[in-house]
Amino acid sequence: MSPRETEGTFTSFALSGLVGRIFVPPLVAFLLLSLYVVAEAIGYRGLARSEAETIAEAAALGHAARALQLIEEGQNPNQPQHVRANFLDAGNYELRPLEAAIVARHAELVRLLLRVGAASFDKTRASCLARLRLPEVLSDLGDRDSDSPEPIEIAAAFRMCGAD
Amino acid sequence: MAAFLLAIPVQLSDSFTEFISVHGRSLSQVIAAEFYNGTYFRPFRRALIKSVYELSGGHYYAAFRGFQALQVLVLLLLFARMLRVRSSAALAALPLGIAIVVGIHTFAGAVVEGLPVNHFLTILICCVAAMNIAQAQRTHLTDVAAVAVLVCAMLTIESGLLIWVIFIAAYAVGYRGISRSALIVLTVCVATYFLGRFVLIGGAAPGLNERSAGFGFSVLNPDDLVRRFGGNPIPFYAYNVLSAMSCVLFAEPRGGVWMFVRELLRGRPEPWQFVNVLTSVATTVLIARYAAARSANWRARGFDEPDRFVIIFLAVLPLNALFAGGYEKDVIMSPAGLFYAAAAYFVLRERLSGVKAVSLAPAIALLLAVGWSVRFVGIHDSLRARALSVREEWAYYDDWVREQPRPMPLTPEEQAIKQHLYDDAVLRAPRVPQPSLGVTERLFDFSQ
Repeated sequence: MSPRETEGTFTSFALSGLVGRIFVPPLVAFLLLSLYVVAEAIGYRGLARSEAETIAEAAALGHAARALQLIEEGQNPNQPQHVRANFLDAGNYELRPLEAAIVARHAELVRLLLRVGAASFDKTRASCLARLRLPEVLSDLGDRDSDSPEPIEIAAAFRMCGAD
Repeated sequence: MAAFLLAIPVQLSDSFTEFISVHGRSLSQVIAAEFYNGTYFRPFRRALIKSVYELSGGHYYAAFRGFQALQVLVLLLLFARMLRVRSSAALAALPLGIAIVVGIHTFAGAVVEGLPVNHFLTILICCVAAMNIAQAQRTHLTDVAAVAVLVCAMLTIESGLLIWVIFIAAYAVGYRGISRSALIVLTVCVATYFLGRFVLIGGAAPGLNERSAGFGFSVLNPDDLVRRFGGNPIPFYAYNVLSAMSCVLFAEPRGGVWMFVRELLRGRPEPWQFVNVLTSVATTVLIARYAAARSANWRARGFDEPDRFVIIFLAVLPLNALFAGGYEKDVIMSPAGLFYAAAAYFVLRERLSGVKAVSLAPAIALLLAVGWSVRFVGIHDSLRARALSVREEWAYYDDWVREQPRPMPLTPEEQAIKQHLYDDAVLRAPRVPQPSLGVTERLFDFSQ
């Protein structure tokens, strides 16, 4: 301990509020983190981002691992699935996972889904969406590459390619 | 922090290949192979991985992630012990000291990366262990422990040589936990290291063509580095050393790139950059003012505990920066970051004790405490994001294999290891919620 240190002077500084300013913020940060961990452990999700419940939602978010996990749990990667609002945009959609990945512009995930069996899809619609949103995967879908300009809006893409 | 670390699976890059490297070989074979590894001399790094691997009994996730969580716990316990919290003022400054050591950007690489045993974290533990030994009552055991810590550290990674610097500096400022004879033995160990590595084994320092490196406002690839500095690399090395010191003191540049300045010039700096730079600058000014106020006492060789830690930090900082000469990476400076946190703690403690050596306006004190607390929370946010990115990395395993410079055919046993790790990361991984904190997230350093 420093020979210059005394409890008396500490008290005077405590009264001046310096101790509170130095001590309280990191303590509050630690307590908040601890509270967050405990709350999360007992199932609280108030501060969490929405998590994908379908493969199509996982594809919309670009979460490949979650998509593979849901396939492993038995969901069919070739069936249209519900995608809640705010996963792609403000709208709710019924989409195949592959279409969700295309519309959300996750090229690697499109290729991964094809590799793991998402091979049964409406080729015309998927290619249409790809042409408008993600031309780089057209060859993966068995179509010719296209020099598409900037991707258009999601809702507009669905209007042009038809709803499922 | 342990809860956040345990949510991260064993990573694919820099980890899976380590498993393959140690599988089916004895510990002695693993160590021997690393003695002749060209530009890097880190035989104990893989030895530790091998040890945890063997002890895991096939439960890789629990063993490796649990080991990292345990390492962080040990580090923080030894760090707190090193701070000698024995007064109300010390106790009041402790949370901020912990927030700085965990929240500083140089620490992030020690926890965000698994590797699968993070050697930077191992070195940090060796640093605080060395300080605890230096502060202890001197016995034969402390002498032996000092040599053991140095040997383990310097054979784990090059920056482990800083343990020698710590022991020398600690002795110079009055810590007598180890004897003068032990210091001589430590020095002989360091000399033997250089002799063995560069003369007997014939190792070489990494060249410019090894990896990309930050310079100015951008990252240069190896070809660019050779083109610009191939004729005379000294300016590049000097830039890296100065950048590394500045990185600790001012949180800028990061990885050799002046990101904050660049974004300021573009008119779009991120809030987290202000938080990082302002808190680091304010803390550095505080330490510098304390050092200036006490320099007369230092010249008279009058050191108390805060003086000692500030001096040790000033000794470690430039020598640590030498290890970043080849390329500047924040985590290389983690030992200096650790002593920076300790120095800041002691200066704050002095102020709370009523010592007038350094003044601190209440508003600045609040800025410091809030800023470091934000950085402390921010590293946990980074760990949560890391849990997701590691899972994603494994999901794209096939793509990763294709991108490797050499083909990676796996034996059936190696395939089984891969499948086990893949299942842990992708199929069996717990669902880890990603926090959504709105605009608050912009205060957190997402680059770490």
